[in-house]
Amino acid sequence: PINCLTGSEFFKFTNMALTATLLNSAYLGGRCCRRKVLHPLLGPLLSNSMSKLYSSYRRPGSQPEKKPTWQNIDFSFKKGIDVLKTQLSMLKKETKDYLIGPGGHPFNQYLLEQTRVLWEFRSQEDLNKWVISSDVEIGGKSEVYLKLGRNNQAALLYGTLNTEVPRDGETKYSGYCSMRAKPPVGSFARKKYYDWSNFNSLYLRVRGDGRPWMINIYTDPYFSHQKDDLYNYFMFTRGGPYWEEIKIPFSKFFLSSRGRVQDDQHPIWLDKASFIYTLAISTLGFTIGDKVDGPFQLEIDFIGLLNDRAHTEEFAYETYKKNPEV
Amino acid sequence: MRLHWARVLPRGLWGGWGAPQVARSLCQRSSRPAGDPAGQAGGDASGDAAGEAVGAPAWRGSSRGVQDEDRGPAAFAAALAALEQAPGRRVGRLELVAAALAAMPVLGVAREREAYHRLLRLLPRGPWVPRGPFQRLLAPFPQQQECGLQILEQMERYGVVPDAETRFLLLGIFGPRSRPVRKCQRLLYWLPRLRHVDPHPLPPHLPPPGLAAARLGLHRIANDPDARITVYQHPVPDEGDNEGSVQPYIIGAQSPDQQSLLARHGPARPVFVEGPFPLWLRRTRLCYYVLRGDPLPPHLREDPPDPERSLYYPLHLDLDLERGPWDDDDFDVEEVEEGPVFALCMAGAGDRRTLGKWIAGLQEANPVLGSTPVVFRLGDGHPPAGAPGGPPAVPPPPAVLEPPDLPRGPGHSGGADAAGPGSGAGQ
Repeated sequence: PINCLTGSEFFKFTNMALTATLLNSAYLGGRCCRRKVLHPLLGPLLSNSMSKLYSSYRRPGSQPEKKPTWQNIDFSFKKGIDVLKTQLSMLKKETKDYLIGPGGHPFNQYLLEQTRVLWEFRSQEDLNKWVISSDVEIGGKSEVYLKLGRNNQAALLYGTLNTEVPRDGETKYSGYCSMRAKPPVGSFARKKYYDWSNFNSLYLRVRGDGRPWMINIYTDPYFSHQKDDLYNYFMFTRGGPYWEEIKIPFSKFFLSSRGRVQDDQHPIWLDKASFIYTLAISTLGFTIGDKVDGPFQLEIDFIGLLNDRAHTEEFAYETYKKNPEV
Repeated sequence: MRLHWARVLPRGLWGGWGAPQVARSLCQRSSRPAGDPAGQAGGDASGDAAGEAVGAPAWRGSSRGVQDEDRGPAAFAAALAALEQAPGRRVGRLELVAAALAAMPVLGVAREREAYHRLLRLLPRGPWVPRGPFQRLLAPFPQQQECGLQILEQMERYGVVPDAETRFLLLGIFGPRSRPVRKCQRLLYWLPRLRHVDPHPLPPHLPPPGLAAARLGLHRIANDPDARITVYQHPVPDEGDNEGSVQPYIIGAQSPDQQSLLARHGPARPVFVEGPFPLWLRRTRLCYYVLRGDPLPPHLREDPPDPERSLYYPLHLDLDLERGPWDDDDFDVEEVEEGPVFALCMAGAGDRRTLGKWIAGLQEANPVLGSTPVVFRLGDGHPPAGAPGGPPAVPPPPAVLEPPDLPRGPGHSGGADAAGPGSGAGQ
């Protein structure tokens, strides 16, 4: 009977995907409101933490921020000169890369490439490109840590999931941990976007412990009403001592906003439309929230892109009106 | 004069002192302690005075108080049936639905569609349907629609797919073009689609933790259909969780490829028993141990070239006819160097003696183990944060996420102290 199968994992993901699992107010993602764009020179002077700058979630019971943003800035001249030097050298490198070809790679590589390595984990600075977070932000008790694995050859994301709901009267579900990549930033704190139009699937070499994960792609949108949009799909790990190579085509990612799967689906746009950055990929993230209390661990070797010529599907979900009037 | 109808008036909190008998009995069932003979004799719905002191929130916490005969669809149905027959106007039914939704996981009926249907039949059919476009425009019956949404949200959380009867009930209660009906449509689109998304599905009913679950787990991670799973020691007692039992189970898996690798590894180089590594089977956590060796140095990795080989023709032809020479699926990244895995094992207890028995059992199929030094590196698998060496002295503040200082650093040399002088037991 149909009820027996509902004990399987799929309900966990539908919960993650379809419900506002964590927050009744704004969902924490890597996105930014247009009105909160920082002045390019002052941006690097502020603290580097993503959550404060990008989220508009306020924990129930906490005081709203009264201090204006400019008071947080450290107006030190020497530091300003150092920052200016760094930014100018970044700008110089960017100009050189632009002259070589798209993305800093020569044209023949751009036109003929079928694989690309996005993030690999071989040193501490590779780990610094990622930010970990958990439901501690909303008052929960899950822990998450990120460190280099054995012989500095892989990243190990481990911790404990705790689904105890914080008692603030608003939150209904809890228990998630996530790791998100920092969005690429050019010189003078300009936002850069990824151009993945040559590829059609995501390739991950991971070794998990059997727990299911969710992969989120955030495209930093131009319009603020899309700021909570995420493209999600699941990553199922098998567990065991062997590395798993997981290929997820981009046609499988479905759109959700604030944790709710949307009725109008469209495929994720992999390239950046240069006239207006409506949909351009900004960050990738992993989340675990399968409603099972206990420790988890995930080792990631590298994350790359693959152009799978055997995959011809354009989009896995129907784009016609799916919730018509009854 | 008995005013039976007055029982349905909302006096006090639902389940509190002034509440109707049936609701109090629903709460009493879950708050009665497990081994209480007085509570057992009290039976159901017979108005014991002991239940009067129980307030509404008290029963939510103690799930251990629910007895087996009080769980299940029968108990839930009985509680709701008594309420359905209560005469008079049903006031407070939104609160009733909220209380029933919270009680469903406690009573164990959260995964059953029939229970949700029963709950939906309590709601009135007709009064909550907006009449005309103008009433629809004004967001009619918000709390009632929110209540319907809560029922569907709990169904979604527990993975219960609605069916035609659910949709029919919702249409009758809320009318077409209402939020619950739309949510039902959404569930009917997404849930069946996402059900089969798992590329490594587990069987719907998993065995309880023990030998059977270990066998399933080993079969899952062995990564080779030729792997042979052998039980080296049966558990005594047979059922139950074998931690601390008289004789823990030992079950191992090894494939013929791994056997040949182990034979080639040679007796001169040590092999390591590492673990415990975690494996989750939906809600159960198992631990497995690995017998592996260090990666061979580059000059030993391949067989030396045969001096009689032909230089004109290849000896092996690996033609990948589906790919052309222009296809390149390799990634430009250094390979993770790890030693070969020779065997896998799951055991009821993770101490050296038990694993030594596993090695002794493995030796029958791999005689080279008799002369190979076996080093036990237990506790070298990635333990949960804070577990090795005890919890950190000062618990970190809740808002700061920083990794604790683990006493051992990463790397192969990390397990040096676990390796005693020479080999461990196992010969």
